[in-house]
Amino acid sequence: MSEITMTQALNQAIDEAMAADEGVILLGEDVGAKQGGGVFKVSAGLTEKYGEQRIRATPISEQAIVGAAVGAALAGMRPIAEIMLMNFVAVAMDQIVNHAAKLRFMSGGQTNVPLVIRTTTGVGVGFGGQHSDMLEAWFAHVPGMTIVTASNAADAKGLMRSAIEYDDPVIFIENILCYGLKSEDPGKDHRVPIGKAAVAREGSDCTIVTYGRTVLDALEVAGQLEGDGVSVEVIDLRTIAPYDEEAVLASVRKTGRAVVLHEAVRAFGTGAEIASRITETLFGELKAPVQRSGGTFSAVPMASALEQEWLPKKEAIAAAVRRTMDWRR
Amino acid sequence: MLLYQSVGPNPRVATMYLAETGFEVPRRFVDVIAGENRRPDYLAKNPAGHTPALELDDGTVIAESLAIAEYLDERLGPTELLGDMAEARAATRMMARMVDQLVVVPMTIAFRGAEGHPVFKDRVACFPEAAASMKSQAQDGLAKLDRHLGERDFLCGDRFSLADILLFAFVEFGGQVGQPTGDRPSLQRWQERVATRPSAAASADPTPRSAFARPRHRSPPRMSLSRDTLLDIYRRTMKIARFDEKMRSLLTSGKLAVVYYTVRGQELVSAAMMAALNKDDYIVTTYRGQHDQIAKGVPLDLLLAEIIGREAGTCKGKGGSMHITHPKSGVMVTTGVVGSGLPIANGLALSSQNRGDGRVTVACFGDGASNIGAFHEAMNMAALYRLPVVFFCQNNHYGEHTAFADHTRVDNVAKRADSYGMPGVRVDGNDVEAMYGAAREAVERARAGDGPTLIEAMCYRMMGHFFGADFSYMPADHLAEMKEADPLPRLRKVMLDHQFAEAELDAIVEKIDAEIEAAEKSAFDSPPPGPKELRRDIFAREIAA
Repeated sequence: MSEITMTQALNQAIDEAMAADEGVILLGEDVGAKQGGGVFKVSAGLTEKYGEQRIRATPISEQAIVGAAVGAALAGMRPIAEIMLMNFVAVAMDQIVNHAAKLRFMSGGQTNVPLVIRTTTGVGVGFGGQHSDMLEAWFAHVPGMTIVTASNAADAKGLMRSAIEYDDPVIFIENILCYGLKSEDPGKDHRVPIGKAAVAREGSDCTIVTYGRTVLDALEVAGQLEGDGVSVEVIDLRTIAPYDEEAVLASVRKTGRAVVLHEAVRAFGTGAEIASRITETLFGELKAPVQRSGGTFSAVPMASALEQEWLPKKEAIAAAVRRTMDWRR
Repeated sequence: MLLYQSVGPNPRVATMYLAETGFEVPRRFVDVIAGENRRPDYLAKNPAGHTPALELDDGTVIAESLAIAEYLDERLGPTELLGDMAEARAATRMMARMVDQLVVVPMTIAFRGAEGHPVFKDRVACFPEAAASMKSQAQDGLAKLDRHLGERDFLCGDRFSLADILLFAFVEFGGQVGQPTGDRPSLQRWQERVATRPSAAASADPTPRSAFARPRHRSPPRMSLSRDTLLDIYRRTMKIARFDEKMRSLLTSGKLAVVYYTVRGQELVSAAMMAALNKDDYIVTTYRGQHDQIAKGVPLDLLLAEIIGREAGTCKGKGGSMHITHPKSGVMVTTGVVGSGLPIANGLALSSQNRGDGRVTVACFGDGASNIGAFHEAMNMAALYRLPVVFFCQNNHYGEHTAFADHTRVDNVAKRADSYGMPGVRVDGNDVEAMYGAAREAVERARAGDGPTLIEAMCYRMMGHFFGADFSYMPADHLAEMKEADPLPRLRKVMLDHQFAEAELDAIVEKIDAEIEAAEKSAFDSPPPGPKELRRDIFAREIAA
């Protein structure tokens, strides 16, 4: 069995999509062959195959990148716009929020924006306050946006392919620390449906709902807690918004306990919405209040020790699970 | 007679002479920057390829600005500019000859060898090695004339003459191409005196002189229009005008209460631009965009229904006047965010470039949008990729409530094109021939794969920012200027000059009015969108209740 890294998975998914559909193009800073195929090499080798008209190395102009992708999408192409680091989406916010997300609605369905915005981020590499944030909650709040992220290479490949084929704008969040993760190669034309969560680990006592890199933390914590006799189920949302509420509720209905975990700042994060929906829907069946675990309410610091302190640590995740187990009315 | 004109100091001598005398001579603009004066048809008339040139009715061609002015003075004058007595004429000729020898000749040689070298090097003999010494020779000449002027008002004493016109054209030119007048008090006083004459402003080039140093910067071509094109533009213009009037009357009467950004005053710019496009070309416009949408062909019934929020509207009443979309007419996005349409226009154009579908995209926006980041990002990217896009800035002199001069230090949007590497054209948008000429040229350029153009169409927003808004902040002279420039009477006059009958033009408007009446009825008959629409069109799939 051959293995692929997440970088290879993303590269293959884009490659396969470009081979299958002339309308798929990639725009972004440094993505071309002359620039080395992207800062994280996700587009390596694609210019050689598809040419500079389809792999467009752009100026450092986030509004122009996303705007051009919106326009091309309106004309029926399937552009992938790369925003090198997630904090830079702030520069392109008008194009994403006021245009990509809303044009289908404001045009009464006459137009749509089949666009993928690829972006990467991650806490733990010492990039500091403007290169590390997980900002999915900003977009989850916007009707019309779809946000996905993968916790393993196989899902990355399948989600990327599905995102490119999706008829509405998708933000695809990559995590710098996950590029090297290896999975068994799921093969050609693999797809992971948008809007479908996966059960990353089955369990019966408590559900951890999470996505992206923190799925790995959740699995590790679940393994530790198993030794203590606590059976944890881990739901990997894969699509952050609109998320697979059915899968979340089914799991929590089974376990009666839930922890929502994300790398992003906990306050006003997506965890608040998910915890709230679980509580609204399953209040009578819950054995404990839903717990949340997430990043600290501060900018991401640079110093390594402080940066690790900033993250939702495994001890804190385990403690959140234990709180649900120990809860007494 | 026909005067072949262009930018440049020599042509200015002829135009300034005409502005002084009021003699009306038909003119044709020759685009010297583009080399039109080096093409065989022009060289057949004037083998030296110079402008200006005066073609007489019998085919005789008179070249050289002084000869033209003297000829006109003898034919149509005499005037004081040359002089009515032999002594006065001799004085004029003496001074003109001195100006020519002392300033014009060395300044021109210096210019062609230095600042103008990129334009002239393949056209005429240039002497870059002599540029510096010719510049200092021209300066010596200016010093001599400064001494001659002394306390005199003009070169020939108290009489303003053709010699002053010649010197003025070149002193102004020199100031713009690295040969300033320097510290010469008499000459400076004289220059200021001449600059206040209406003929000075009337003869100034439509584009800054930097055009010579940057050959991509273009002057607008005027185009004589066929009757079909004129009629087409007239129809589009009147459709916009009558629809806008209907909107205002619905709002004034209280039958309707919606926010509406009137397009009064901007009818013609849009009509002429859209007349240069094909049905399947794309446009992107802004909240003040009803003129663009109508001119591009959005059906009036769907448009009105959308503006008033009805189910039958283009967007089922969910967009409104700020978000009109009608892909069947090529109207792909109407944005309520200033400047945001430009990057999107690039994307539409990029799709055409990749597919080779031959479509052109026009991004419509106002002068206010020229200061937002998206404008700069989009202009740079379009030029970089040579996208088939036309940036169509409708400079109506106001960004919301702020006058152009209060939001921008430079006096001109078009010249920004230079810094992105694309042609920029400023045009009187209410001059149908100039506007259509600029539009056609930009569209053809884009379609031919030669990349984007920035058109700055000068026009007026003849009312407040939105309908009903106060616009007492507009100064009286601006209001007067605006009234003078009103495109509707101006276009009507052009139509009549082209032998269209009053009755024919009236019949067109009547037909438009009937269409608007029908649109009004069907729009108001349509129900508002139902609550289900809140779950539709957010995603491809309807959201469950």
